[in-house]
Amino acid sequence: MNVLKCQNVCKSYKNFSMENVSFELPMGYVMGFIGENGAGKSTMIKMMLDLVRPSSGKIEVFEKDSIKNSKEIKEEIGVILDTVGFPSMFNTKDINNMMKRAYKNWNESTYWDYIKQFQLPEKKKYKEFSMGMKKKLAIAAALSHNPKLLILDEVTAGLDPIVRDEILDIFREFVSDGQHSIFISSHIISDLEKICDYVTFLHKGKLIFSMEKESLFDTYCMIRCAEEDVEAIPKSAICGIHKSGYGAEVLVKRKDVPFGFDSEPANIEEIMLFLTKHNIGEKI
Amino acid sequence: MKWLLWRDFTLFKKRGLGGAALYIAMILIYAVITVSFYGVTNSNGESLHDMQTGALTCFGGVNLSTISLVIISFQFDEKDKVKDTLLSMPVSINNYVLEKYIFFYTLLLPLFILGFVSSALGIYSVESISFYTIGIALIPLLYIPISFILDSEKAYLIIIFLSLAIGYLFTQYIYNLIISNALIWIILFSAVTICLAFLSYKASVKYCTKK
Repeated sequence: MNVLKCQNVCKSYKNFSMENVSFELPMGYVMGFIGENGAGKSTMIKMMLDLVRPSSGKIEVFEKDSIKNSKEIKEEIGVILDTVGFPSMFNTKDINNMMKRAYKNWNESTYWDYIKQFQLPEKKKYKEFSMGMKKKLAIAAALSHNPKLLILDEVTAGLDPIVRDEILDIFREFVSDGQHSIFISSHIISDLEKICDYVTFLHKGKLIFSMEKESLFDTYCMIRCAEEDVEAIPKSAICGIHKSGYGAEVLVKRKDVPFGFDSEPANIEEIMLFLTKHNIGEKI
Repeated sequence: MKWLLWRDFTLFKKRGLGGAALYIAMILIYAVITVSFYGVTNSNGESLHDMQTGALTCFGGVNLSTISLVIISFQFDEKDKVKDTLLSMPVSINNYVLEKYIFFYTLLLPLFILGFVSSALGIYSVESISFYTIGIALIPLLYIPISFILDSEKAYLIIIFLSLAIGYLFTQYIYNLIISNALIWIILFSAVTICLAFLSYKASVKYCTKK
């Protein structure tokens, strides 16, 4: 079963357009959603949540139409947006009172367990929370109504590595039973690399790829060599190249690595950079 | 939708002087002003509480202060950037928008009640109060869609300007023309208000997620 299915989704704004974006997330897996600022990641997330309507195409969540079944779907998903927005005058108790009225499956004891685990103050107002505390509170709220899918937009941004690691552990635990899934967008690619099973890459509103992380690593690799050696690599094999005073870094398709060159595994960040910033042609 | 109403009223209460306390104070001031003028006449023996004065007070004066307090709630929400978070929770866009109208009208209810009481006591004529009620009812219908299309700050300024302009034009030029056939005009204005309510709601739903 696919928990998320986007089919030919298009969205046009005055200075931005998203074209025919399609991908699927099977149940029990984590999908990382990457792309530069303005690539359309937040727009895509908002379309999944029916906060923005697509110009054309279809989005299904739990195999239900995201527009027609919006309210029903939202009962079963936990959402953390990049602009976490709880009322500034509310404290953790008020937020619990609001959430228990909003969600049918709200579990107060789960919520308070997270509040204790994250050491969040009960009486302090939300506006007095630090960035890390706000994110932790959002995570507690997103996880306390037994959601089947988490949709997370820049959830680890602005957090220190220790807190980020703590949060990633919670997400790993969340998907461990194979019945829960996560769709996570982040600029911190190293975080995504740790927890993702699938990677979807959006660039200027276009889908570059959506595939399993392992397939991605099987598809691309890096060659680091002297600048003059680059000539020996067939142009058709080069996906992206970056030359500096220290030599050249070349992203190539693994199957096309020429004889005599040592290849190294490429990480997601390198693949993303070389397919966009250092891209030389069509070989995506 | 009930949880949204709970949220709005809880926040209104929590804002203290910026919310509920000031709101109650304004209602009391309005009541005191209205009642204290009752029976007061000028040197020519004319009542200071004629219909024009009443209508002018209603449209251009104390009510705007009260309404501005209601609008503060909308501005706080915008400042807190809560809209997307709330809409990502189990509520449809239609219900989210509808709740805004219900919340606004609930807080305007004391103004309507005071109007009716004033009328019942003979402080204002039934005609004056009818026009006043329609005028007050129009404010959320204009404010809410404008706040979605622009933002709450600009919508507030537009509403203040519109209210003062309409109030002035109404009392200076229109009131005397229509008062002889007041009932017809009241029915006509009510019908227009109902149509406007429908259009206002539709526009709010359309523009709620456009920005």
